[in-house]
Amino acid sequence: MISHFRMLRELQLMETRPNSTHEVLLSSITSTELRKVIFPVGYMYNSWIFAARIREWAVIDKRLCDLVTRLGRTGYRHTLEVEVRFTEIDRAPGKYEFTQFLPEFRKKGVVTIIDAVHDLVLHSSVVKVELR
Amino acid sequence: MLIACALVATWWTGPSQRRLFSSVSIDDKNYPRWMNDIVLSESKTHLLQYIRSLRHCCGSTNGYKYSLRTLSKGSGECFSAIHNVRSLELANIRIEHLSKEGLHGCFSAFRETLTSLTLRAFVTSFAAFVSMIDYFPNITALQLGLFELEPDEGPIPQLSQPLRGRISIYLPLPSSCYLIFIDRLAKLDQEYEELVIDPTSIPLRTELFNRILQFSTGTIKCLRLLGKLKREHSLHTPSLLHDS
Repeated sequence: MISHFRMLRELQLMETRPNSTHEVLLSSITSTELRKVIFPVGYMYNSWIFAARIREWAVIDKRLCDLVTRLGRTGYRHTLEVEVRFTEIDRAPGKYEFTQFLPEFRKKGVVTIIDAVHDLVLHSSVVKVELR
Repeated sequence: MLIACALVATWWTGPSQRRLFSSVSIDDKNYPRWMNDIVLSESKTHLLQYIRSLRHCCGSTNGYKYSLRTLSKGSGECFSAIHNVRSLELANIRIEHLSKEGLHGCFSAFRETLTSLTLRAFVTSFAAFVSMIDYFPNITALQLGLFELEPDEGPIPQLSQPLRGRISIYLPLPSSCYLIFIDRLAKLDQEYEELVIDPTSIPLRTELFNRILQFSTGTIKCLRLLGKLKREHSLHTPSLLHDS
């Protein structure tokens, strides 16, 4: 679908729960210039929703790993960052274990969780974030 | 609150006016006031220098489109007094083919400063559209939404420079003319770096969506799919990758 964008550095996906379109888009990326994929996500108020989200993202986790592996075969030399942007989230410190998000991909790239409304980094897999 | 502050503290007047007039919208209702109270008022013309973002939407009733030619004659005097506009939105407008002099009559005051152009609910021929966007040499953001395409009356002009920066496309109502327009736009000299599409207005995997993805394939660095999709698009949708 987007395979002909050979210079693509950043892909921002539509705000929705993980779905087959995400998979198709990720699978069609061929740009070895890719640096960032942004997933705007809706709300997350409690640990039950958080757990459900973790399960839903398992497929995306695998697709992102596949993407990095596939690009690596064609000379990809960058570290891919996946930015998950929540538009509504309860920011209470320690409420969510963000390290559970994209557990396999974070071994190959960087995961950043953002509170999009306040433009705050809630979690980074490479930098320790202190929430107040 | 800014208006109130400007009334009670004179040192607030300048900063407040700068903020109040940075973004203005001209329509049928407020146009006479704009002309009489500001443009033609010697004591208040300084307010026009604060305008950075200008929206013009007149003639919105009964599907009537305000014509660019009328804009040139009617609001031309108003527009020619506004010098620092960075962002211009023209809504509900018929873009006829105007010569460079004709476009000059409308937009010369901010031709060089304009970096963002938004056209919504407009009617145009492709040639007139090309003349319009090529008139502004420094546009780096073009937003297009909801239009009707008319037959060309003359040849398509050559662009004086490649189209560049960001292009955003929002087409909430289906129309057969979109494919023709998008095809012709894709064939222009394009070096866009950012492409923004709203999948709620142009569904993914449709012919129109795929044709838009033909834009600037050698230069696009950033692709943004904005908008919220409905719940039925969730993970419960069978994976296409597994379908085959």
